[in-house]
Amino acid sequence: MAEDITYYAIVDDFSSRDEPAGVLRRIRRDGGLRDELFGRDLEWKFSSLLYSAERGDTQYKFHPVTEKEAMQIVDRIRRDAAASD
Amino acid sequence: MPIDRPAEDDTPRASPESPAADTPSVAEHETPDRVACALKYRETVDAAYREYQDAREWDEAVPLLREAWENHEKRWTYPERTGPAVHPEVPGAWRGDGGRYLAPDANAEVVHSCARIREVGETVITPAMRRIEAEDPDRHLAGLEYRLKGEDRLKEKVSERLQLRPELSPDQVLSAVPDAVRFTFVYPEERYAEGVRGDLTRLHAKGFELADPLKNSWMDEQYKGINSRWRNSESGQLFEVQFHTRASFEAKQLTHPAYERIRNPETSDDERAELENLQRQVGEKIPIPPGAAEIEDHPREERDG
Repeated sequence: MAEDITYYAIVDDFSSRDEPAGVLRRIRRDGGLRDELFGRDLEWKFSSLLYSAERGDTQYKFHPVTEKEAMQIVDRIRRDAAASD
Repeated sequence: MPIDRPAEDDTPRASPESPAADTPSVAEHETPDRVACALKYRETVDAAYREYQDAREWDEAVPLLREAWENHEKRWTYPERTGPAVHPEVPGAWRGDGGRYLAPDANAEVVHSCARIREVGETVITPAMRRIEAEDPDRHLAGLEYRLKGEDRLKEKVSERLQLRPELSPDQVLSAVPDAVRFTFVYPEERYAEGVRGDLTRLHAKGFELADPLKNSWMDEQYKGINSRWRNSESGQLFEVQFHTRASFEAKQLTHPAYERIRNPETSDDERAELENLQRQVGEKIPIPPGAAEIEDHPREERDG
């Protein structure tokens, strides 16, 4: 099954490119398209944020990142979640 | 409506073989003022003709694009949205499509904040935007009846954004949503760049602050236009101003149902890819107004006079 995943760092008013608010992945698989966000519930879940940005929404900036960089953001979210528990 | 357009060059011209070939052209006998005037006229007519041609091409494309959407709807059934409902087990909670949810406290906070946004939108921002609109009869505010985003759509946004930022309060999340109050200017194609720059100046002159750099999407595939996020400094309320041509505004309306499906978590991945393709097809047909892609933030020196 051909699968192509692009990762994006999400930056909002309260975050920066160096410390993004979160991470999103765009998955293209055999003619299908799906975006997922790694949330504070520590799961990848559907997200419409990038679709909205592509339609002009100005609230979030999306910066393409490597898988390695994306996993570093994921790890940080896990650590933050553990610390707040 | 066809436009009376002069041929490529109306100046009588002798053929190379003709004895008159060495004689000066009519233009050379003209006074500089008349030549400048003729050139200006030519420029105006050419611009009007370009706009007419672009508009005709777009108008011809619209029925085909509508048909493509109708075919899509036939191929992909879409359950009627019953609308967001109150959570059946938790009084006061809110539930939207695809499991979007707000707990009772969060829901109450959003309802309260929405009332405040409506008040600022209606008593401060909308009257100012109407005054700005009145300053230039060549363009208008379109879809003004939709200037306030619906409460359920705002709840959807808050619930999704809380997924990213659970440490924020619903009110904080809502205060960062740029388009709870939104406006759209629609310009004639040939006057687009000049018109947008004029309105940026007017918005600044009314005391609004640009909260972000302009988002210029004229070279993007899925959507064309310029979106901007402004702040009313007194209340801190954000609002959005979009800058469109007739075609880009119509395209936005045309693709709205596709966008609704794209952002619905219940839409299948296969259909979503087709919807994206459909939006791209529409985007390709939108004429790009002269100078639109180069519009950036208003230079500060111009802004501050």
